[in-house]
Amino acid sequence: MNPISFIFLNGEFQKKQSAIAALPKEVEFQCTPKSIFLRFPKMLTLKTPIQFVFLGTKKYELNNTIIVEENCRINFIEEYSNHLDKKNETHVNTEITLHPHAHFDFYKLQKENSGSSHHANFSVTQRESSQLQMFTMDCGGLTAKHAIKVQLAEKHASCALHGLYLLEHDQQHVEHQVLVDHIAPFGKSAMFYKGVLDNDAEAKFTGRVKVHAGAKQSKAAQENHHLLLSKRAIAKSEPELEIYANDIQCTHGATVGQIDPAAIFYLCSRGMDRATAIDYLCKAFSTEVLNKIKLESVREYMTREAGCNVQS
Amino acid sequence: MLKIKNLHVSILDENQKKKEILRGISLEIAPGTVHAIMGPNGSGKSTLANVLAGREGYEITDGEIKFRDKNLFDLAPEERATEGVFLAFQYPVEIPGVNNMYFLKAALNSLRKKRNLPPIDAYDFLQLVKSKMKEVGMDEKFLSRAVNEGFSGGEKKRNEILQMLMLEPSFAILDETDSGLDIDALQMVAQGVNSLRNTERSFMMVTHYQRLLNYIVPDVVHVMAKGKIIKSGDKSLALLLEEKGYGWIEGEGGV
Repeated sequence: MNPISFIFLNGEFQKKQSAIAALPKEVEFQCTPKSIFLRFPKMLTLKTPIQFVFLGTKKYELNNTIIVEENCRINFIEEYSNHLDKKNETHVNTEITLHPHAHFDFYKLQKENSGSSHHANFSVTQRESSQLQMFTMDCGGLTAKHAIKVQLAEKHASCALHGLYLLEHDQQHVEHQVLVDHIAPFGKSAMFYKGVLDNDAEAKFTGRVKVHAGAKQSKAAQENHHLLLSKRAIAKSEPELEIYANDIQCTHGATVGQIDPAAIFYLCSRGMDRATAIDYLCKAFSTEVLNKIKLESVREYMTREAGCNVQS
Repeated sequence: MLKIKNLHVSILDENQKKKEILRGISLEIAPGTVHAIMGPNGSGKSTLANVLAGREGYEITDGEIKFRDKNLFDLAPEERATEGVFLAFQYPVEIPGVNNMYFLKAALNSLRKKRNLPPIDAYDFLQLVKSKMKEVGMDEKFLSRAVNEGFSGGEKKRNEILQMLMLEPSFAILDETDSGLDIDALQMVAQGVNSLRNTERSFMMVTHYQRLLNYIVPDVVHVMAKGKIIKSGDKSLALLLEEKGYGWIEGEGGV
């Protein structure tokens, strides 16, 4: 993937370990021990993704601001994990503004250890014809909560919010609260989240779409699917639609289920053993979300992190 | 090769009540022979095919099935596959996210592994699969599609035959592979089966219609009704059925 990589320890910037020289100088980057500020100036296209790696050993809080100006094309990756395998408690608040015609692809990987917790508030304001693509993957942490709020504040703004959570530990709990506010006309939003849950893991997903009066010809789609590998795993899915405008399209779908026994039998009847068949089917389930990642190098990276390299 | 003795099979119906589907099937299939199983809807033909392949959800209440010298009920579906049993599904399962070529290769390699052969070379595999696809009249683009996802009925059946040609089973069961096929696809199925016929390999073809048997000439024809084989004979039996319908034989069999 070879991103421009910045390292933070408990929220503090680690200059020596970071590729600060590789960051184009027109990008404004400032930080304090509790905050990060990033501004991408007009017309900037960065082919190489920027990656912020957050390592934690204790409780820390961060307040971040990202401004993506007009016509920018930026790929940005956030990764959260532990340092020295210590437990941590991460609280991160991020505010993002996308200016007209900006395209911002945001990828987040949460792989903290099984004793850690992660709380993220994420708030995006999108101006005219801006495009946000967001992908959140949880494959670690004891508890994680993602509160995501996207405002399509001006016409023709669009967002695609995707997520995958792979929970295998007992007591592991991941929650998503995703809200898209369609304020202006011709907005488009899509939510597509999937979860695979084993043992005692628990997941909750609330997908809320609010279409304000005047947000005519808005299109909102929402899907949330869960695969339960154990009888004790619990998944809750709550779609909420609040619509005050006419002439709009909203769809939603949610499922909680097991692996299709007919599919297992089909694979086994061709000689694959049961465990391998189940493994393939789980990976196939996840692959559908991973394939939404546009940038190939990031898609490969996330697929590897998810342990989903089934396709040879 | 295959010996079925007094097989009784039940299922639980939608009211969780036990319902007997197969009521004492006995059947012997010798190496190198083709057996056709015919019979009206609900006679238990597909149940027999699925029980042989090891599908869950059936209760074997009596009887036994020997495949070569092994008791089939001791073997999981994948073990039956490695022993050489193959079922061409009546309704092939769609598996989104699993690539067709990858699936074929994984299936072939798992059979090779059990036979102590190394995994097939990637180039050899591609040559093999392409030539077999040509035989069944499938476009190569289906290799990169997900298994059966969005395939038409005919494409799914072709894909079943492709798998059969790739895996070269010693005993293949075709469960109504001919249903819903146009004449071209039907001939392709027949060609696939006929190309595999030899003195060792056996086939069991479950079908409603005599039509398929014009192209794959069976050695033995069995007629099933209400969970039993009520008549067996040579290929002329199929022609008689075509002419007189099942009612004639059901009356004669006293079921």
